[in-house]
Amino acid sequence: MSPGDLLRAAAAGDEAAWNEIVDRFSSLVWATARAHRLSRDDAFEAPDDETLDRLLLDGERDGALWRAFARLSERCKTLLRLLIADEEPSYEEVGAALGMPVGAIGPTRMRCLDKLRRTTEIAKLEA
Amino acid sequence: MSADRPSDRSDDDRMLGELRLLVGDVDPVPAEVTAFARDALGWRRVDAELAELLADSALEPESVAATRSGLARARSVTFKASDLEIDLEVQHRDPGVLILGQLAPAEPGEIEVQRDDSSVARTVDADELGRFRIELAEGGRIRLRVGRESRPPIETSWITV
Repeated sequence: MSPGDLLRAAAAGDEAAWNEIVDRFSSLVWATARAHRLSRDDAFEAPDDETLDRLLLDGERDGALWRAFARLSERCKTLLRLLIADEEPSYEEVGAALGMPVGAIGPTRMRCLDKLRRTTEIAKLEA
Repeated sequence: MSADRPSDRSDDDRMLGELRLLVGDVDPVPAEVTAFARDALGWRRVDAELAELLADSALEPESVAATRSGLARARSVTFKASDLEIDLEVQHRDPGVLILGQLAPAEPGEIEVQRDDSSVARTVDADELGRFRIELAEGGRIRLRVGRESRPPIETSWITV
């Protein structure tokens, strides 16, 4: 079902449709909230170093990539986080969420990924 | 510009894919967020109009400063629907929470206090002047449903008291 169909069904009280909306869009909403650095009441702290170390030590994930990501500018981090949300948002939606001109998203994405690639190489040497 | 080479473009996608896995592990959507979102539909009654939060003194920076310096004031909250405003003064008692409310324009009504576990904590009446008083044994996430004579009910958005 398209998002429009799901919304209409959910508005009519269809619980399965609503649950699918939650499943499909929660990561996108979360990434957007993170992008705006929501940190009140229902604020959840960013993962602490301990959690990170444990996950990275498990060896499943690329520690160098994560360290490099953490060093990116806030602008790059928020943009990339939105772009990798489960329900991939369009550039129009990303622009609206971040207050960024749509024309700037493609070039910024490329610059951020270039930076991430170079920094990851450096982080690998440090490890 | 090396970034224009096709090999780099597929490398971009590979890197974003790896990053997606990382973020999913390191900072997933908290389970309580999705759980609350799921439950939200059960509470959405299509017959009621939503009264949006218009003002909340607890969200003002000076209120935070006042609380820190020990000068706690009653919290003042306002919800607004198309033809009704709901003003609340929230006082923390020991134990429990006291909420003094006012419907504007003044009119009688029935106020139901709903909790986010789908229970109804209290039902009270607003008098002819639109005033009502709610005593809660404990705080939590609540919203009010205002039933009115011959007009559709109104539900506020959620607040934590």
